[in-house]
Amino acid sequence: MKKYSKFLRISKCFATLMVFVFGFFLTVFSTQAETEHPPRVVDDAGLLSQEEDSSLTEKLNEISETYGIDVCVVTVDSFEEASVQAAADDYYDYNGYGMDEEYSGVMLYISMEYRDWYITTTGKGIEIFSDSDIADIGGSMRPHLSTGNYCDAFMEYAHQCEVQIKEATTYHWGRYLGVSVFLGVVVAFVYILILKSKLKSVAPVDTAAGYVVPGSMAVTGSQDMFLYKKLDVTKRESSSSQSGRSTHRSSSGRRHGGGGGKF
Amino acid sequence: MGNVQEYKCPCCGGAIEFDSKIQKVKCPYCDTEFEMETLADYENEVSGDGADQMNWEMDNTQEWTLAEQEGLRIYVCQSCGGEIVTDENTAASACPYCDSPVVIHNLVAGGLRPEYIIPFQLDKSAAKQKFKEHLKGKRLLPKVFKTQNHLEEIKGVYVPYWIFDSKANARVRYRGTKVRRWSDASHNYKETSYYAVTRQGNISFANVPVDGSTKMPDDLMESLEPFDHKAAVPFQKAYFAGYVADKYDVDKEKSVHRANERVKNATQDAFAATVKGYASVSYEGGSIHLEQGKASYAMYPVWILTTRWKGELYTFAMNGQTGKFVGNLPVDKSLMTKIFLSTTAVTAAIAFAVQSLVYFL
Repeated sequence: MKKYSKFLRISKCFATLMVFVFGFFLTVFSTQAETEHPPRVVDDAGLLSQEEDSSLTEKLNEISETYGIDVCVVTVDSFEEASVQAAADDYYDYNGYGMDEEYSGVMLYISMEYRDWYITTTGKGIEIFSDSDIADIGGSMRPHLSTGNYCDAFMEYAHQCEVQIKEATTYHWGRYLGVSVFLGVVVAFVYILILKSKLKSVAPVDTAAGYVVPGSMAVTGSQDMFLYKKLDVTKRESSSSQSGRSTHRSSSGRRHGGGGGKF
Repeated sequence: MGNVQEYKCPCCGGAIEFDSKIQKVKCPYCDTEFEMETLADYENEVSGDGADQMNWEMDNTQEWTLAEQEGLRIYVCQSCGGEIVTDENTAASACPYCDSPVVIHNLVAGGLRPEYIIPFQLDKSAAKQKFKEHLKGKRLLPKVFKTQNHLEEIKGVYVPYWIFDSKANARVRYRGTKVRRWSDASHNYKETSYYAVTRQGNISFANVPVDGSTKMPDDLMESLEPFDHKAAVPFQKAYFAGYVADKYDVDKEKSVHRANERVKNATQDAFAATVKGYASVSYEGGSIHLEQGKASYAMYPVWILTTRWKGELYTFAMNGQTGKFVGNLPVDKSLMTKIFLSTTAVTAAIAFAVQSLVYFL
């Protein structure tokens, strides 16, 4: 009986231990599964060879991990959403892209059905890529896309993204110092002008307005005659400025920037 | 062939030839188009300007009486030549304008007797207090300047003024503009319509003062204004007791120019204020006729302090009636450089820190 109860106790301990061990591994694996990043190249349209896919993936992983901003490429045959913008945003939002609490990243979305390209940006990506930057990237990719050199187009996209992100995330101490000194000189100059103006209290008074007899003014005649008119015509600036960042909400409620076109 | 008449373009002033055969005329220089009637009406308006008539009468001035002459003394400054008047019991030792010694010259002779005087209403201690306040809060003021002043030397001076009263009949022309803006898909449009605006009417001025002493800078004296002439009383030499007075050395005829200038500017501004509904209004021409223009001679009370700093003379003045204190102060250049550099350094450091903080956060 004693032996049996001892065996039972050991078994219980073992079972408890196993539960803990199993629980631990389950937690670790499930956490790993949660934190595992989705692939940065998803070529559902089959535009890349195996080697091209892996070299592009390597390049995008390197950029993304260096700067902490997701840079990815997704190709599809077609999409079901109302627009390529909604399709790109949804793909980004619902497949776990984004590298920080702001889900920062930039994704190139290619749909072959109507030959659409769209770049969607989120978090820091919105601050880094202005509308004109996105248009420029599109402009440099389009010749490659149109001729079917998809790998070159995506490599060009990766290169342009890296340049933009590097520029935006580098600590330009020299530039900051220059701006600071310029600002300092302007502020000091204005401050000195204010201080100097306090020392001046003498100025001629060119009018006798202070000596008008109250109520003495009477207007006895007035005439307003139209003479001529001049028309100035100037060309309108584009509604979105060069540095503008137009944003919208995706179906998930996140804020996205972006732009796209056909190829 | 039609009759040819020449007009001046209201836009650029160029000559326009008007051909009666066509309905509109176009300036060959600025391409502006005009209606025929408009040009003729505008020409009439401009030709109606006429010349200013700004005459002043001065028939009520008096000479000094014998008794007054005996009771007053004239001192002459050996440095600037200024003549100051005191009563026989007040001794003057220094010129109020340049702080140089003065010597007694003679009894008052010649010149006009003031018609009015505004007696001093603020005493020397008030003037000293105002001067101290005047120096407060001025960071660029040389520290040594404050200590080198001889506050006791502040002097009460009756300054001669010519006082002008008049009713002005004015006809003033302005150029008014109205602006309309609109846009289409590719262009922005700005249409500016120009109008000839004329206003006629009258306005009265009372007691416009003009400084009658060359020793007192005109801008300093005008900065002291206003004086309330209602407090003026008929002149009596007893008011000079304890103070010095300046004799006018700018006569009425010379002062009239400044009075005319100020009355004209005030009239143009007053009528411009009645021109409403325009985006901009600018004076173009017109004329002013003065009626009942009258000038009189008066003495106004001013506390004066002169001081030299680095070889330059600084004059401060306080309105002896209202307490308004004026006078330009010198700048300490080394202090200014220090403040400039330190402000630049502090602002630049803050700006650099903020930029770095924004980057790293």
